[in-house]
Amino acid sequence: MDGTQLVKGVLDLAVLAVVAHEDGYGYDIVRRLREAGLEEVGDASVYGTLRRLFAAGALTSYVVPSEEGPHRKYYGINAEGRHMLDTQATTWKAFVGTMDSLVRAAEVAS
Amino acid sequence: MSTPTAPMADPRAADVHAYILAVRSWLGDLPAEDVDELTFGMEADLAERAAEGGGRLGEVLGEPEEYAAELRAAAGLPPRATAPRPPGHVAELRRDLERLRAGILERWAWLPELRATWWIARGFTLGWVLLAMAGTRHPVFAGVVGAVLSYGVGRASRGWRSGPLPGVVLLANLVAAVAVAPVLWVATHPQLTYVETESSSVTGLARDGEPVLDLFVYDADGHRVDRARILDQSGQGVFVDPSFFDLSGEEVPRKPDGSPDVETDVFPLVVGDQDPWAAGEDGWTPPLVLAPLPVEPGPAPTPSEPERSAAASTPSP
Repeated sequence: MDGTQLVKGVLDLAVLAVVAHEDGYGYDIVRRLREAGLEEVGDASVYGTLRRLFAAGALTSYVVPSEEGPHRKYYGINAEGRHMLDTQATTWKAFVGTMDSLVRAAEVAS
Repeated sequence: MSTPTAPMADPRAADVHAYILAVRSWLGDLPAEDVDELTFGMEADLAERAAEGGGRLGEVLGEPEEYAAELRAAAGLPPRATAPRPPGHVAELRRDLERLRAGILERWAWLPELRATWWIARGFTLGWVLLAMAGTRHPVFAGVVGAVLSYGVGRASRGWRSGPLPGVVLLANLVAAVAVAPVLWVATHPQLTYVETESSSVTGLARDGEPVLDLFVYDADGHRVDRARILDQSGQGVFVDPSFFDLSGEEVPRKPDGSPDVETDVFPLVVGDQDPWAAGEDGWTPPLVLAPLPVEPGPAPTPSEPERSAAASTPSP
């Protein structure tokens, strides 16, 4: 199965989880997702997700000026975002549980 | 928390800049604030991405078109219906230059170290050229002032990449790049001085600056005078410029050394066996006779003189 498609479905949850752990700028979040094992995640997908979550009021953003180079835009999670994270995490766990028992049943049968 | 990284080396910055410009053009149908929001902070992030290596950003992240499409999809924005308007010639040229610049800097990474030297040479050259064009005889001073100003502009302009001013700087750079070698050569060879020459002056007889090519002499009675010699106020014989014979297409007899065999101080000039009184190139023929001059009132002639003056006025045979 194409992992990329799976990741797309849960990217919101993944991004919320990473930002909930620590504020970060776009590429920093991309990198942390990859280090966590989501190696196929696309840069632009993460940036787009961050923008959408921000527009939905789940994230805050602030600019960190740089004297030497271009400014950075950091994202942090807010109460709305934590609520969203909890809800999605619950849904995800239930989903994983369901999928797990389905796959296990298939393995026993075979 | 992760810390921002140091700014990137120039070739990558150029690549990043070109990449973001292209992505923005693919987002160009969205409201400007959406585009800004989507691309703000992108420069720092992509610079960091580029610094990790892997070649051109287009190869690492996908071409700007794909990147923009993915960005829109993930952000929940509508996909682009039509391709962006092709960039104008200027934008295209600018992008090509950015790419060229990125390529050059990637190959010769030490080139940016020479920037200060280039700023000084550029300023010196432009100052010199401007003042030399204005007619100053000592453009070195202007060159030095230009070098100082250019160094200041160079330091201040680091990081300028868009807007009209970099265009001006680019133009100035191009002019300086063309002129720098000749100007520095002239500046370091001070014995080379400009001498004003009267290119229009003629060596021989002239009227209003134009060379006189022949003279036709008539005496007081209006008769032609052959083989006349004319002296000026200081006793110098009047002559026509012999070099003219080299320019005219006329068949002129030559001396053994190649110079025209013409007596240039005897009028009208006799060229070969041509009739010196024949029509000239412009079609004018010297008249056979002119109206005689009125008799001068002058001092009353003495009884013994009339015959002598009459004899003198007769043309010699």
